[in-house]
Amino acid sequence: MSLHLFQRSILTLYSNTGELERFLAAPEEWSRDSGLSLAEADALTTIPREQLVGFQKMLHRKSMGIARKLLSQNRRALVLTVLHPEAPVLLWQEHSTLRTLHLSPSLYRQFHYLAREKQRTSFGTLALSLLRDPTSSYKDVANLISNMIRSKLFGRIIYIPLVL
Amino acid sequence: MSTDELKKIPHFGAGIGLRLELAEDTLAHTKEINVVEIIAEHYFSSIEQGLTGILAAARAAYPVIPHGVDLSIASTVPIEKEYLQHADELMRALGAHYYSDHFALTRSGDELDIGHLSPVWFTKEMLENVVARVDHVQQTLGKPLVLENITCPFVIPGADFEEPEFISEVCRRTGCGLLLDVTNVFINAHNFKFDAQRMIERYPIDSLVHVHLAGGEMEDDVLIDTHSASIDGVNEGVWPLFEWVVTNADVKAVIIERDDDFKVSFDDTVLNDLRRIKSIWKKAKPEAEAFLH
Repeated sequence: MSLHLFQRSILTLYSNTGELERFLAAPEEWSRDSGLSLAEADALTTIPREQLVGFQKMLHRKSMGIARKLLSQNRRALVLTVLHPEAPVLLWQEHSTLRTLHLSPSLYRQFHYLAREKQRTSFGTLALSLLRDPTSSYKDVANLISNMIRSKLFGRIIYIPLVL
Repeated sequence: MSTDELKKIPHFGAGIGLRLELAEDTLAHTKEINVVEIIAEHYFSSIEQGLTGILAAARAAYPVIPHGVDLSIASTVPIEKEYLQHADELMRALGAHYYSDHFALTRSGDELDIGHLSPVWFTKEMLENVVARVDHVQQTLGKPLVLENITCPFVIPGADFEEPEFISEVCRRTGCGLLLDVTNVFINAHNFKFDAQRMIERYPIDSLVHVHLAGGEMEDDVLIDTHSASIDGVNEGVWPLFEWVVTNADVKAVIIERDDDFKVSFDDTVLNDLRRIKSIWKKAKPEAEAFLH
């Protein structure tokens, strides 16, 4: 269990800018609040700061880069996926369901990463992006609007990282 | 699993990681390339339909080695049954002799997944964790698991082992194989100021199956494992290390990793590196001529 807790703590530092800032401001307190043992806290707090921060920044850059690349390549697949009437709920709640929507592991992982950073857009913006996408058709836009009305989600904010 | 299983693996030769951007060139050079490696997870969703598209074309031309990036062998959360099912399906479809991945941590459950290889904390507790997980994977797949050393952004202090000794103990206890990324050792040695040759010699050479080599970039005197250039660049220093490895280990496959900057000439970069790999390998082991066409 202890190793598990240590891993969750270090992965949190890698992936969450806010938590990393809180850790750097008060590492002993953060480690204690995370339930780490003295040895684990010591290991975490003695990682050279610039190396830890550098790694976190690299991961962030990589995730944003991958997300942009994947979204541009998969915009059509993404949008068609979102057209699924249950998509907004599914995107947020069910990781396994995301897989059944045939999103690549990288793509749905980026959704969750970026969701933590609170990237968001609206169905309206999504419709606009569809219009701008050369691979989309007016039928896609019509289907989107139809779905939005049918699922009563018109105007609802959904966490999809289209605005990057 | 016994280490005898590693000895049964045939010699594949030298090749390249199969990437969509390089697929046409990769499939066009069957006289020079002996083997290709794929990112296994990219094909998990499609493998139920069997070998299709680029994967089918690659398999028709070459032996194909599956290389995963998401096994997260150092995690403490259980490995998903579905993941291993996909890996098993892929291996069967390819007729693969082993499955490879990394000595790394990428996630702790679905909600904490960084999508990138991160360092392992080499403690005694971690050793028991990794040994148990490797045993589980090998029992499930019925084939050896071959694990790769990674580049480290930092070393987690307070460990009980250093990487070579940790890996040696895992290999000894499980019979798993080692994928030695020679470039990663070189990069870590440069960035953390230790002797790369002395470090390489500490890895379990008897368990070595597969080698990775790659080009990279230098930024502010830090080497970065970008897989974006010819090996004959900032990573030129890997060649003597590679020569030592093929002289002292029974290497089955050497793969060039190229994941970025695809605009350069395939001949001038990838094939050039491939030719040098084969030249060094044949000089070290003349019998390698039999599988290095």
